[in-house]
Amino acid sequence: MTLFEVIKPGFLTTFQDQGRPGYRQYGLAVSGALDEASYAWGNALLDNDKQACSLEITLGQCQLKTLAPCQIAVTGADLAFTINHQSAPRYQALSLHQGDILHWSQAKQGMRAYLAIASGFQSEIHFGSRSVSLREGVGQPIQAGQILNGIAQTKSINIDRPFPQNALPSLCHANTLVLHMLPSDQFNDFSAASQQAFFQQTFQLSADSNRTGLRLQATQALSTPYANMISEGMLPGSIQIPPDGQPIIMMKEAPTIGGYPKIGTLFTTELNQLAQAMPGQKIRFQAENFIACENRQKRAYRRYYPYQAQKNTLAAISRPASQNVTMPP
Amino acid sequence: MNPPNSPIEIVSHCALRVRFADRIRADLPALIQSVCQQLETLLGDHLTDLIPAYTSLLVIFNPQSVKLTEAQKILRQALTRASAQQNLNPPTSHQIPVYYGEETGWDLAWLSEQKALSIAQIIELHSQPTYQVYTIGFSPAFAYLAEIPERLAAPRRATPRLHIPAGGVGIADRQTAVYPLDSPGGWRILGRTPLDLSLKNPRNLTRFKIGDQIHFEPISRQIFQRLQK
Repeated sequence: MTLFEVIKPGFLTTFQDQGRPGYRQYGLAVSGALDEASYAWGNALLDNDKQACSLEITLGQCQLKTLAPCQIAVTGADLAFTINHQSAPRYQALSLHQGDILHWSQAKQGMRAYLAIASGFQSEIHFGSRSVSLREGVGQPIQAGQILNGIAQTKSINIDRPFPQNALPSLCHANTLVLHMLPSDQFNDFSAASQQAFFQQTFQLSADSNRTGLRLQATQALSTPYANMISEGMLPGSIQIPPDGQPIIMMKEAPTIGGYPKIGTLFTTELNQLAQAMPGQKIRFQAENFIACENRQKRAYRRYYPYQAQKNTLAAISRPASQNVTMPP
Repeated sequence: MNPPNSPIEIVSHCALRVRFADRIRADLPALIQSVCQQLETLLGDHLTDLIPAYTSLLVIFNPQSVKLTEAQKILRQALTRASAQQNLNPPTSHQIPVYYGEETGWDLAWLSEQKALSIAQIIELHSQPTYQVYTIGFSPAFAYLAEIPERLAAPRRATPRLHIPAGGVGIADRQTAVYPLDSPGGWRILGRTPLDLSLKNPRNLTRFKIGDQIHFEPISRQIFQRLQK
């Protein structure tokens, strides 16, 4: 049924779910919500399936008109969210009436807010997922005048479901954001001077960043160990160093294969923080061994993810059999 | 190097990489495909994604359901069982029409000067071999093909172009490929195919498989324009 009409689509507002695992062998990016923890909380607050589709609202300027009563939860960035021009809470299930105007005007803290609705948005499914992937032309951002569909509500939602305040992600990195990185085996191919320059300098997040990758501006040059590498697989969190020495952190729409050396990998918990970092954010890297990275990741799951998502956050959608690719309608 | 002894890199909490060789070899695609088939069975529901490349395989699994040490063990087992002779997918042959013209082959003139070859010679050198699909990646349905003749090998552009049109046929080092979508790219562009390889037709996603054989067929401007419609 029709639930919302888009009045203003905003800078970039896209349908996102847990992404499309199983298609990277065909070159399709995994895509999905960039801040996994905030996305997971939206669905948890509404007792949704873990893979239910939400809207990822980037930086604001987004306005929706409610066409039918429904329940929602808004999580992630603080984009000055209002209902009928009244400030409205995040991380809480809310009931909407027909005619209610939802508005995210501007980024106060963080980059990406998530609008979850009870049972999830019913947008078009492409290759097993509703996630829009801009670089690949899979789906499109929402447009002014578009009608957004959901499912008529049959279950009642426990509107008092508590949200533990310490699970609120830290959205404001006034100082430097320190990212913990597992060095890759190619790390050892970089010169000692480049390794040092990588850890000693403070990078700045470039405005030339998107769901494909985050570009960092270096002040001390890094040199790549080789120009002609044999291209190989990478994943969200891989940090590539191209010949110009400006690192690129791969995000969820990144190409599956790349030809630049990778200095290391960031785990999901670091990527969730980066999903909320504004251009200009100061960033430093610290190397950690696998055990330390894994423990950090486990602590983050316990703290920032809702309980039921904790059990199986990453792969709720079943993979396609390799010989039998599901096609969109 | 024997596959069972290939080094395994811990890439992330959810990913392992095997490197089979340090140079491109024609027997590797079949071997890597065989490892993939073993992993589909052995890892089952724990498996999230496989990214086979020229000389390596990235295995992405669900860290909530299988421990890294267990995934490592399973990967070793898959490497032991795999063999280049086991590949179950029969290769398909594809003919791809290409218009190698001045308005589509943006780097033909540059290449002709660099290599002291006439444009006709370049077209002949590029369209003569039967290429093998080594891997699919970068963007959907982008098939990495090898190898172009040594005499044609050319480095990527220092600064990638911001826009290469869908269908653009490019070369980089000894690889060649068709860009299925409009995209930025640093490869040297020799021509364009009128075939639609985009996801507007979702079947294009699985049109090319690793191990498939590809042959480029030079066509005239007239045929190119007719097929484009």
